[in-house]
Amino acid sequence: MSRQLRVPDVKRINSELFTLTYGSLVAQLIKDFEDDEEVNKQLEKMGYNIGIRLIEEFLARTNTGKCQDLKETAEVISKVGFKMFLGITPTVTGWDAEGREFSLMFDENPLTEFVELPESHKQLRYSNILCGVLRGALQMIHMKVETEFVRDTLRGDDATEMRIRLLEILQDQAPPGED
Amino acid sequence: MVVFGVYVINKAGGLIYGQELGATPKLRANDRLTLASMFHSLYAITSNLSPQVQSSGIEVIETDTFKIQCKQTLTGTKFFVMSDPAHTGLDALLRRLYELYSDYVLKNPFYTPEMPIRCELFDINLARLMEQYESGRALTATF
Amino acid sequence: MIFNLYIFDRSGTCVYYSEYHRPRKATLSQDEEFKLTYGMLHSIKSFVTRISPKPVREGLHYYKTSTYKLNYFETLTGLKIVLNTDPGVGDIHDLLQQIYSQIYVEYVVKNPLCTPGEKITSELFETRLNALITSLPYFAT
Repeated sequence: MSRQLRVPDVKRINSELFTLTYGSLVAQLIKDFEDDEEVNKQLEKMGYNIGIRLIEEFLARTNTGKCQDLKETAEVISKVGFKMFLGITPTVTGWDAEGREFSLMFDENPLTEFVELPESHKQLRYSNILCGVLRGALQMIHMKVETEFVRDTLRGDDATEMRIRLLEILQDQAPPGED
Repeated sequence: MVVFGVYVINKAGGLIYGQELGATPKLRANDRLTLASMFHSLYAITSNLSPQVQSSGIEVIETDTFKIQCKQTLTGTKFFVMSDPAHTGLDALLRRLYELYSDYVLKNPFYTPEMPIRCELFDINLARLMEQYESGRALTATF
Repeated sequence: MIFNLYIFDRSGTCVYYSEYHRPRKATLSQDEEFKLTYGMLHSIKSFVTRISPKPVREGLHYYKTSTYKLNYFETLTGLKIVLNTDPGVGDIHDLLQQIYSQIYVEYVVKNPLCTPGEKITSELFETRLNALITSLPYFAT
């Protein structure tokens, strides 16, 4: 029985409004924290808080079942998850020998349309919120991962690449009193 | 219509008979014992948690890979059969199983109640019953 | 007939409980009952995984006793929805899925004032849930 990974209908909002909203969020964080690394951390934390809730929306809308392995998970993240929420499908590549690490290559990114990073903020990981979202979402389905943008066209690299590393599979917590 | 296994638990929750059938992977004896006592406790708890008065324990449990149907006799002995989830009509099988037990086990003067069942006649007749069942013939009661 | 509904989160906290019909009054305190129910579900899951002849994917669907049927639905995030009905009620997997996607996700997950791990206090959630449950044809019979 094949599982149908249909991408369901989503309500539309103007993508420019979205880009502007995110941009103004980052700008305000920079003003408040003044330090690029701190802003990166805040973006990741915010992303985490989004991710832990977004996963339920994802599961509810798509009725996805359990994935057999990380390769399947990566495909679902790219072709269903990113497609559903951002309208893009980053390419899954760069698997390591054990199949516990992979990369998502972003050809396009709605967060960074029209954005240019000035010299004074070369350390800023502008799209870091996405790292947090993935970390939070995967945490909720019992996968502890590390996510990081290893390359970013905004910072002058030739491509935008997010590296995802599976640290461990979390077990269901036994209730108190049980072994 | 596949039956995976047949089990009998005594009043104290100890497994006195357990057999995986056909192509089903055999469980280790220890695992069988653990699972039997788990089932015994679950039976008791589910009866206690009932939102209705006077509930029995688990009679049917269905998952995506199997279905268990259980019958607890008035004496406290439990018989349960594990089959594929689409299975229906395990009632007749359980009843015949109880009949076989009361014949070849309880009527055997050398069998001590509540102890593991090691009666050849029970095994032979159970095998015959399963053969009959798998081939789809109607299960007729002996009395 | 629908008896009661429990929603447990991934760490075993009962975040929501609702009683519709309950002929047998609880013998334990509510907290004790929640703990016992969750512990029992955890044991059943463990039992199912161990005894299953094939690797388990979705796990427990339901169990029936002589007087009630416990219908079970668990999401990949560990959220557990438990609905007790009379044994005559058929397969309500779709209903539980609906409670999750159309009520829980909409009114709890998307509500920034609902903190994960805490009891659900959203009135909107309660109203929508009760409306759905009471509208079922087998609610009171």
